[in-house]
Amino acid sequence: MWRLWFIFCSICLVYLGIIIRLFSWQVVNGSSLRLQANLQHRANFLVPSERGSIVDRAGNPLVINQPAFLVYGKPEEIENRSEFAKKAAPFLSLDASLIEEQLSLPDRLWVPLVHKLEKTRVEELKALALPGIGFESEPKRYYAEASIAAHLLGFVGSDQNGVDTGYFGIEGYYDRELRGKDGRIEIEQDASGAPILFGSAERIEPENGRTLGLWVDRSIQFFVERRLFEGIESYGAKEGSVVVMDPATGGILAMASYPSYNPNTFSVFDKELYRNPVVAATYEPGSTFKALVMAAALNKQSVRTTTTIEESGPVSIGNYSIRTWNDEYGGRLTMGQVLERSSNVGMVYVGRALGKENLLSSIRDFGFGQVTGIDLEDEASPVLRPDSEWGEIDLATATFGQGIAVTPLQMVRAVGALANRGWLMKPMVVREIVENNGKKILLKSKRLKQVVSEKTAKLITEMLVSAVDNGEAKWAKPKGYRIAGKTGTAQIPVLGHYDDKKTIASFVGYAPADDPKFVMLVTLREPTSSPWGSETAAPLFFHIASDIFLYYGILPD
Amino acid sequence: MRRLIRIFSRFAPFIILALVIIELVVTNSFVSLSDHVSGVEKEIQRVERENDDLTQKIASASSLLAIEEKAKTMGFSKTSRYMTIHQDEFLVSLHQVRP
Repeated sequence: MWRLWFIFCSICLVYLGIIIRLFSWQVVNGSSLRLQANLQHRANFLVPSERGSIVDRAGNPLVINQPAFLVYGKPEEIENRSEFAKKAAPFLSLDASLIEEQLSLPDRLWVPLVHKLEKTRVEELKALALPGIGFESEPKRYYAEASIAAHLLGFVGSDQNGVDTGYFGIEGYYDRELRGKDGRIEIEQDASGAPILFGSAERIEPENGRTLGLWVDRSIQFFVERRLFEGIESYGAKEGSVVVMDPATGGILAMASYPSYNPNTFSVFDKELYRNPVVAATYEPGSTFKALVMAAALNKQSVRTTTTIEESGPVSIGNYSIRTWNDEYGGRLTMGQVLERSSNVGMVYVGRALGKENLLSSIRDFGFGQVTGIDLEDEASPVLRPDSEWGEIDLATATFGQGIAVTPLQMVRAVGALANRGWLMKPMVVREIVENNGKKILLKSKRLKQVVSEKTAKLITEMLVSAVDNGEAKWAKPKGYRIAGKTGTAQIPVLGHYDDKKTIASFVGYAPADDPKFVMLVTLREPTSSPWGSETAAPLFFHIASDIFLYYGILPD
Repeated sequence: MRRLIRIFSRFAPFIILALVIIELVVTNSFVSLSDHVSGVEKEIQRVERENDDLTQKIASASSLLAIEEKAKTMGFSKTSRYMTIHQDEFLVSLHQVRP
């Protein structure tokens, strides 16, 4: 009898032990064991999204992704770390001692050695058949035209978490659209790591970044950059920029600055070069501003095309004396001749006729003192002084573009209004966004306001055509074309005074005058061959204009 | 009814055995299919990488810088002198004018 009881109690004890053990596994340690089990038989993969491409107006690629790899080492599989480091170092462009140091870090299963190594180098490394080396796909940005349009495009670097992020230009402004959204796969896997088909699987597809189609024409961008470089060399300038815009749509056809950098290798360049001078740097526009002041005065009917002035000598304002650029005075001048001769004295008269309130409101109407809203990351705008801080001399010098700071983009947009029947446009770089399913979203051009009437725009256009045909730069103009434009030579302010040896030479214009296909601004900082815009920026403008005429098939009259 | 139950109980073990064998066979084929799926996914990734590589090579070869270099090696040169001919201008004379 006692044997039966003994067996019965033993069986009960065994059952109790099992229940306690089950309780321990399922209740006490349940969550941690479930997690462990999940890790063992469920695989989680991040499916990275592909960054979107950037193409020009005709669909030619400007920025795409190229195959590249993260190279990592597995210290436990490397027998001789010193030998491994010596063999791998030349291909990784790293010091062998640094590689060895990384591999010697304690408790590391894998060690990243180089990010985004190009495919050719990876193939060479693979050929070495080094044990303990691994490769993970990590695409890299590729700028197909090298340094061309660098300031416009920006570049992709890593943020503080090592995530690819766009900086400056379009890469920065449209980073979210280009980045896309990473996907995820969670599947049940067997002991060998192969997926179990009838097991549970969760798959979230990545959303690749969108493709951006620009207004930029890569051919125009190419010869703008070539001509700018040639101009910088010929005229001995320190810096220069060119911006070309379609006045009817606000679309940027080309934007170039020198010095520049190559976004493919941005890290080796000075960080100061990343900033786009066309949208972020300021300058005093000089005589190019006269076109806008004259247009405002004509629009307000403060002057007419038949109005004349007597240019007999300098104009005194307080302790200041305003002279013409060559200290020559032409006597009785029409408004057209004021522009042809680029007369500062004539412009002071126009400014006085316009009046302080109208002059300042016109400057604001043309978009100065505020950002244009262009879709580039680094745009800035100088602030206009409050109206109460404008003295008589400030108003006088503003009429010929000194004592007022603008960005090149603001200037070209304002003159673009004269080419567009008086309508100021919002400048745009991106023309369309292409979704992953191929659907195109067209970004519509935006008309902001009509700053001058259509009639005024026609009048000022004729005056600017005459300024080109009869002004100081007429020798460089391509024959047979009607080009409306204005030269500018602005002294650079240095420590509270103007340096008469250092200038910013510029030319702004649009063509063909009767049906403008482009408006363009050329600026050269401190040209040494000649300080004058008529002898440096103007010829450069006309060279580029000739290239554009040929490209568009625009025939001379 | 009793007859049906008797017949079913006679054949039930064989039916159960057959179902077990079918499940084993199907599971086994799924496992080998999952290996195949894994292989196909790797192949897709390889082809996608190759695609990206070719896209980059095409973009590089068709870049204006590359075209400019190729044009130079082929003997093309820049010219700033060109003529334009309007539509109303004849390219050749149809009737030779004799002095």
